[in-house]
Formats: sequence, C-alpha cells, structure tokens
Amino acid sequence: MKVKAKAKNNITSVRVLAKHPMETGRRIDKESGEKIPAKYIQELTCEHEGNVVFVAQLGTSVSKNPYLAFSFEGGKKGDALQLRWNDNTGDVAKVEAKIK
Amino acid sequence: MNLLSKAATTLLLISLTSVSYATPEQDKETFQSFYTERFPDISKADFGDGVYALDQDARDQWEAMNDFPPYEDNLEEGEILFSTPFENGKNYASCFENGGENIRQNYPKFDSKRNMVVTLELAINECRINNDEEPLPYKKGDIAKISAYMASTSEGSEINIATPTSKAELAAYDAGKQYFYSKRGQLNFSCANCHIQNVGRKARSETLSPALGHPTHFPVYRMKWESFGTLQRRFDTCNKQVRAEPLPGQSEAYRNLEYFMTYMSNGLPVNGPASRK
Amino acid sequence: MKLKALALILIIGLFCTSANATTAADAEKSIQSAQNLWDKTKLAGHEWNTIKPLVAQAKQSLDNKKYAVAIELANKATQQAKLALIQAEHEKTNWLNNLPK
Repeated sequence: MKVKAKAKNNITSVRVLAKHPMETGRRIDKESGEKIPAKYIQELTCEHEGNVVFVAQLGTSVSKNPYLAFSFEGGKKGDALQLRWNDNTGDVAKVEAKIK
Repeated sequence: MNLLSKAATTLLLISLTSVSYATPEQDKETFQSFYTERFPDISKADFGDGVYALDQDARDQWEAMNDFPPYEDNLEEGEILFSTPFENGKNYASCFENGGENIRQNYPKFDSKRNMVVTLELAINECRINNDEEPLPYKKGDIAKISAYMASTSEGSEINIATPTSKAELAAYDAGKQYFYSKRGQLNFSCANCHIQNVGRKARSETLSPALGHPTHFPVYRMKWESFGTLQRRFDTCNKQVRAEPLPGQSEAYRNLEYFMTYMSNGLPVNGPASRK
Repeated sequence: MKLKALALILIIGLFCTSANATTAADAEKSIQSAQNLWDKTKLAGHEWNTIKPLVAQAKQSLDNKKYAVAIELANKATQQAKLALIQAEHEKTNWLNNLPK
C-alpha cells in the first residue's frame, strides 16, 4: 500500500493505493482455459489513535489496484495512521503512515 | 464543358493542389491555430495533456491517479536499462548527444545521408546494433521503458524538430502528412476525422483527443496496457479501431507519420512519460 | 432394362464426381484471386484487417472440403479487397479535403 496523508484545519485527508489483483473469480486464463481463482480485498480500514476512522467494504466490483481517497475529522501533523486490508484468501496487509 | 466551367475547375484544382504545397511552417501555423481557435480557453502548452485539457471531470480523476503514478516502477526500470553498460563496456550515453539526456525534443530527426526519418526508438536500437547487442522489439517492453526514461529527462523542453526544407525531408514530411489525412480501414476514417474534425466530441464513451500535443507525452503508460507503449504502438491501436491492418514497428509509413505529427507539435513542452486510460 | 438403369446411374455418378472436383478447384481459384487482391491492398498501403481472417477461414473450409463455404468466404475477402483498393485510389486526391481550414 502507498499512503499519503495531510492534515489541515482539523481535517485529515488520506489517499491510499492498495496493490492487489482484485480477481473476481470469473476470468478465464487464456492459456489453461481455467477460471482464475477469486482474490479480492474484502475490507480496508484506517485507524487513528485506536479509533477506526474509515472502513471500506470492497469486493469483486472494484478493479485492480484500488485507489481510495477519504478524509476524517481530527488528526494533526506527525500522527500515525494504521491502514490494513484483508482479502478473501486470508491475506492481510498492514502499513503505518505519518500525517504530513 | 464550356470555357467558364473549365476555368473554374482548373482554378479549383490549383487551389486544392496549392494547399498541399503550403510550406511545413504554414501547415504548422494552420494546424496549431485550428486548436487554439476551437478551444480559446486552453493554452497551447496544455494541449500536451490531451483529453485531460478538454474534460474537467476526466482531469480530476487523472490527477488523482497521478498521486501514485502508475508508471513509477516501469520508469525506474527504464533508468536502470539506460544506465547499464553493454557487454563491450560502452553504454547508450555514448551513442547520443548530451549523453542521451534532454534530447527527446529533437526526435524524430531526418538522416540526410540515409534519406530516412530516424525516431528515438530507432536510434536506441541502432545504438544497440552498433555495440553488438540484439535489437529490442519495437512498440512495447524494454524499448518503451528506455525511451520513457529518456523522455523524462526532457521534461519541460519544447519540441524542436528541424523544419523540413530539403527535397528528401519534404518528401518524408509530405508522406507523413498524406497518411495523417487519408481515410483508411473498413470504417474509412483518417486520423484527421477523429483528432481534428471531431476533437472534443465522443467516439462511443471516449472523448477524442487533439492531435496537437499527441507526441509530447509519449511513451505513454496506458492503464489498458498496464505498461509503456511508444507512439507507434498507439498507431497500431488506431489502425485496428478503424479496421486497418497495423504496420510493423519503424516501418517507413509510421516513421514519416511520426515526423509529420511531431513537427506539428513544435513549441509544446515535453511532458512524457504520462499516464492515460 | 437393368443394364440401362445401371448405365444411367454410372453416367450421372461420373458427372457428380467431376462436379465435386470442379468445386475444389473453384474454391482454390477463388482463394487465389482473393489473395492476389489482398496483396495489392498491402502495396497500396490500405490493407484492411478484415481480409486476413476471411482468407484464413476460406482456406480452413477448403481443408474441410466445404467448397461452397470456401468460395463464399473468398468472395467476401475479394469484395473487401476491392473496396480497399477503391479507397486507396480515391484517397490519393481526397485526402486534401481533410486539411484544417
């Protein structure tokens, strides 16, 4: 995940690019003729000082490498944010970013 | 046919043929003013952003996407490929003026010794061949990455193709010009039909981009390709879209077309590589 | 009577086989003529990408002994090639009409 976070006037705006294939499970592999197994992010969350400030429930309708932009009240320069996604195959990714 | 209609026909033919004998500089003026008049709110330099100069909503999405430029990794690979020496110890820098940096704006060039247009990609491969390396396949892959890196070192420099003046230069320029304006393919469209006459309008769901500024941002990282592609890779797609058979990379027709198109964008700053849908 | 019937059947059979042989040759001729015009479009710089699959399908049908289908496909390819050549000829002068004014 790549993250950029900026705080201004008590609002923190966050932009995150999650690197993930977001396979729906319905695409056919051209060579083998088999369906490519589904692999997609189910939930992406952002925490700030122990509070969950953002939850996104994605799924098969979101395409590869989802880019999300959101903002929340609070946060100041130097604070840490914890972003996490988990997918349907059990994979998890966590990243910590600092608000600029 | 009576004398009057004969005279009228002759006059018409003269006026038509004399249009094609306008100098390249006059062509460029007409070409560029077509767009600045059609879109008076857009500065000439901004045409390098293509559809994103015409459509604000698309621009917002594009700028958001460029928060994390999708081509970052590929561009880094391009830099590594460019800087890595060949087996014989030499490198790309030894083949180009200024060590290969900040030169994108001068290509394509006309080689008067060999009477042909030389594009940057062709020059890259000739550099390889002259140093006993296998040439790279055109249009995509490593050659596009190297070209993209070289383009990135020219950020902001104005496209500066030497004006065609000699007979051979004018012949290549005219061939490229004729290709651009000729209808082709089963769907019978010319480049001009979409990118001049119908610029800003839609073809199905997509907005048609201005031809002015087309070459400035190539090689382009197209989301659809998930990789870099050269200008000639895009020529292929355009050809297929009008149901014409694409041409091999660096074929004479493509090189001449690139020569004409890039000259038409003289004065616009290089802003490649760029991302596109 | 039986001999006459047999002779009649044999003669008709002879014509049937020769009819089949003509059709295979016909199919090859149609494909060759499509191929020739196709090559001309390449030289003229106006090759349409609709021609290649038609010729390939025609050849496939020829291999599968579907001669009528092969001829039909080859004729379609020929038609496309003819239109492409008309386009090439027309555009030699018509391109001037597409210049910006």
